[in-house]
Amino acid sequence: MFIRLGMGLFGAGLAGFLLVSVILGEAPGKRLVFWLRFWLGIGCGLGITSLHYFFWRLVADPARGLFLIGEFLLLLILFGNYASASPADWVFLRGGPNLKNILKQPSLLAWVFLMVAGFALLTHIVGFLKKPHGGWDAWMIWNLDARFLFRGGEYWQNLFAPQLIHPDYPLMVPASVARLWSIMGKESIFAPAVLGGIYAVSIIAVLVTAVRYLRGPRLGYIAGLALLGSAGFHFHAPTQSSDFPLGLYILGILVSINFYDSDEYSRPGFLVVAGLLAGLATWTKNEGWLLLVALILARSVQAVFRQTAANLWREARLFFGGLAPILALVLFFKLWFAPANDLVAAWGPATLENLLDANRYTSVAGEFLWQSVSLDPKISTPFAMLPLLFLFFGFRKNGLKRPGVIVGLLVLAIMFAGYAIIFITTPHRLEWHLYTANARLFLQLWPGAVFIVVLLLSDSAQQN
Amino acid sequence: MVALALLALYNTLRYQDAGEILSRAQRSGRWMGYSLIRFEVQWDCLREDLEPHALVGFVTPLPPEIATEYYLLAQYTLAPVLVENSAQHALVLAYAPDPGDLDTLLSAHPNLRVRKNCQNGVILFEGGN
Repeated sequence: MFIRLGMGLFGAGLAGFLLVSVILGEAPGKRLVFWLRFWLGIGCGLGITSLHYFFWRLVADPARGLFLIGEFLLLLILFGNYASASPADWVFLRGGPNLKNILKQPSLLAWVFLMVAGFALLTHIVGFLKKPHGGWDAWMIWNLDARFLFRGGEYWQNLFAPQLIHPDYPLMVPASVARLWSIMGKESIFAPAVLGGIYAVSIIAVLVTAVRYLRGPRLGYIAGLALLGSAGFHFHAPTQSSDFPLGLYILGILVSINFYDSDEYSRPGFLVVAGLLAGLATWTKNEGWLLLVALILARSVQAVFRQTAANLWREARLFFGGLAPILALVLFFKLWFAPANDLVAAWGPATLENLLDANRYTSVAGEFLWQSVSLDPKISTPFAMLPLLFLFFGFRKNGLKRPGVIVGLLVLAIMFAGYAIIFITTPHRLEWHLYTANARLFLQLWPGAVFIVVLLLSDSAQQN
Repeated sequence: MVALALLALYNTLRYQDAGEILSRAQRSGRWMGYSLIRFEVQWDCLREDLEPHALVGFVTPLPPEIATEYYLLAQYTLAPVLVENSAQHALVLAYAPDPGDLDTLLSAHPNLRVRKNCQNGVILFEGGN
């Protein structure tokens, strides 16, 4: 059973790695950001194979394993393109890991980071042992939908029935879980639990790896420690919450945009990857649509103010090149299968009343402020403490002139504003909605915020 | 830097209480939280009685603040069967964990008749609509 689980995960990760590598293209004579491609590829691969599984579900019962033919063909095509796109990888992979270098390199800070990350892993395992089916959202929404996909036979579309909680939610996580169950040949609580762990590990790894490439190893580990400084991260990771894959995609998009805008690594493919990840975000949670709007707005505003609007059309083509194929499939799902969202369906005169109610603004602002400073072990994502890093490590000269950083800050600001509007206009009881959702929404933005803040730390912090 | 490392380590460790896992393992021989797993096993006796496309009702005498959780758990357990939190269905499931619960349910819903009693708190009624 575990061998099949491992094969399912390996297949998804490999597909993602090959896809990202092919999109980024050839880097003559050098191994372009291998580890970033590796870690970004895992999230990408899980998203792509999930979408592929769902569309196979429409034509054939996945219990027959026919979807594996499609996955195999996808891998073959990607592998054929990869072999010519990344020749330097072959030299690296043939040589194997250089153990001498690996053992010599880590600094004390690296060991501290690895120790904390090791404890985080143990914490995750303890969390799984406490709640093997995950938290409320996992069994009430995501794993329930996975059961409909896997067990449902010809009645799998019952998952869109109005009796269920949030039948309109996208199916990235459920289809990923059902895909693994289909490969394993049976349901297992280990599949969603391991998936949840992989998303959490990927977030840490993408953050540390990206900062290492852009700002050096020291700031990479500082970023990792800052990320793990959120107790909410450790509380929610074992709950199999789909806010983790969304957080991974948000981080991956901001990372890709900053690599595109960097002096050393800039390649058009990074914008294609950003578009691809934005599409997968809409396949993960409805907040992905807000993210898409935030990205388009942020890049447009930044381009107009920086007077680089001439590049905008070229950049938009790259971004939509990655986004369009995924978005078309997700739109098909939304228009053909998913019922109306509860928040959207309730739009009406009451929405306007809520918008004009000053008390709701105060409640939301108060909750956002509390969430930003709280050290409560179950919710803490201390955004307000991130600026403290500037006190210790200094502020980067011209940091705010970097386009990728500006886009990152704008995206985060628009996302926060969007979440605030959702709460202010919610048809549900506001206190209940804030209590049940706010901490997880902040968690979605936490890795991306840590990434942007660490990019703004002074150059001297790289060496001290 | 030291403060950041200590904060990260503290937050990594403070939520999870490994002692709870160890004491459970000593007490019951189980490492894993078992309440939901046990709940799922309780419903096994009804699985053959429910068609996969069935839409059934659900009732419980438990207080409202926990009744919703058990209704949602029943839906999770029995998918792809659809479960509605109402007694107005031809077939109605009940979760009645305490000995007097069956009588309470029958007096609250006099039109229901027991079709199958699993003797573990799980009951299938008919005649609710």
